[in-house]
Amino acid sequence: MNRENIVNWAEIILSPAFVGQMTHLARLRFTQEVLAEEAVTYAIDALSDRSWVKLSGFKSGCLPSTYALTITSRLFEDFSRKRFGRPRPPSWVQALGQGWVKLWRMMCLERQWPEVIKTQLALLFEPKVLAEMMLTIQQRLPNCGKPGFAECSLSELGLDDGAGIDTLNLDSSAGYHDLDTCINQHVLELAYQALEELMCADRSGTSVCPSNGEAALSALTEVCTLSNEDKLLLSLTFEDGLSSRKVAELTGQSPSQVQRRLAVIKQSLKAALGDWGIDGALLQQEVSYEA
Amino acid sequence: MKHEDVLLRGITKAACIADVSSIEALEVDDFVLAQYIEGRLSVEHADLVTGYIAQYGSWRQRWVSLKSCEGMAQKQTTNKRVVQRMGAIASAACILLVSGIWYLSPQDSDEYGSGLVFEEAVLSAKSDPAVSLAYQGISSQQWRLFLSTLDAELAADALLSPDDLPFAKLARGLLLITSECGQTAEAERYLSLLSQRYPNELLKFKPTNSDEWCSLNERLKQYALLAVKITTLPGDQ
Repeated sequence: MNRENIVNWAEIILSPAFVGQMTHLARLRFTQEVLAEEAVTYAIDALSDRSWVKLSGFKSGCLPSTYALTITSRLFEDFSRKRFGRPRPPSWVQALGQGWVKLWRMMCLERQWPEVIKTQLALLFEPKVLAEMMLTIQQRLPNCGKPGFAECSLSELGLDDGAGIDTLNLDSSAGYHDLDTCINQHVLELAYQALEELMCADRSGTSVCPSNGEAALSALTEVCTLSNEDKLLLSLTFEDGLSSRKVAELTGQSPSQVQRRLAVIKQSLKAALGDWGIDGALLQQEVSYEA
Repeated sequence: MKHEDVLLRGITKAACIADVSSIEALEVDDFVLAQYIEGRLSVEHADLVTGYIAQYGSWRQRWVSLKSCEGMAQKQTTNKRVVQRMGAIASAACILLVSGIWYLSPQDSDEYGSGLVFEEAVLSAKSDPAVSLAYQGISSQQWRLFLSTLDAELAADALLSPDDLPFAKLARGLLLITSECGQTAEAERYLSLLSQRYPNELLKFKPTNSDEWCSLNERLKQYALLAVKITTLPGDQ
């Protein structure tokens, strides 16, 4: 056996530092201390099962502990599915992004107290924004958090059949990949509608304007020219709803760098729409269609 | 939601899809994610993975959580100290063979070489965990007693042997810490006692700050669960 593959996983997994990291990861994921503890126990059990077979994919090139923690994050999702079954957030929640999904899970599945949610998510969302999000979920899902919510029928969860999400198998990583793809498609369709709505709005001038939303978005994307770093910044900000400070921390930049880059991108968008005769002020209006 | 937000999300996704040939050729798995987190990928490869996690929310969420743990790990080990990391799982004989590896330097952990100092020491200690635990002397029965006391299944002290009683008292001491972080006296007393008896197994758990006292319950519990699991033979109760 290659020496590089011989790792004393028991020593690594049970070290105080690693258990601390697992616990921290579990508390980020589950919030409720009891659930987090159960998840850590589940993960250690799963990792150690059959002579640490789940870690057999490790190769030299990173620290064994980092690899083990990456596997642990996946095991926490397994634990969540086994614990809560497979209730999924409504498609409208998914379309709004991961920040909303996280909030839905805390409110509706884990039944966290509002004060706990506000404290836990304080670093991610502005208080006013968070309060509005919580109110929206409560209004649109009146049974959220009530006993038996997790076993609700699909119609009660508000799932529609538009995205085909119900048929996805979330027992595999391929299933989650398909879920991501479904969500991404939904995001695109919302953007097509937004552009078609803007193009129909009263415009001051005329210029070349694509006739449908999909073509318009494609043209807009070419103009805005996003790097992979820009894409990540936008996803973290507008899909995950993270603050500039949190995005900066994750990407190794300063908050002001993040804000400056976002401002530049927004300006590019505004300029591109201006070339099509669309008033930039319309960008600040709320969408009128059902998201 | 404002038009601006919808459009910015839309152009992000559209830009990711436009890059489809690179994304589809990329294989991102747990190992690649771990390397990405540690900054060990080439600039080109890392850039592709950045685009990948921008596109796929489930991967991005895992990356966000794992980055948070990375920050926590650096904070935990900022205070340099000598740590006795070789515990009960590696046998005492193997510990003696691994020379001079008692110091973990977190600031150096960005460097591939020094970051592996501890890990390489572990790699060189080939050991059978079950044998190691048996060698160290804490029996699975004692760990079970510890665990059941943590679960508030309290046995009368009079029924416990002098060897077993400290395990129950340690568990009770830890329960006091959990309920009111700060009341460490009882746990400290019995941890110290048991560490003298079983130094290779327990000395490494000795907390050095209040955070470590608060988390000691959980760490010892996890350790005990694994110890019971791997030392229980088929047919044992």
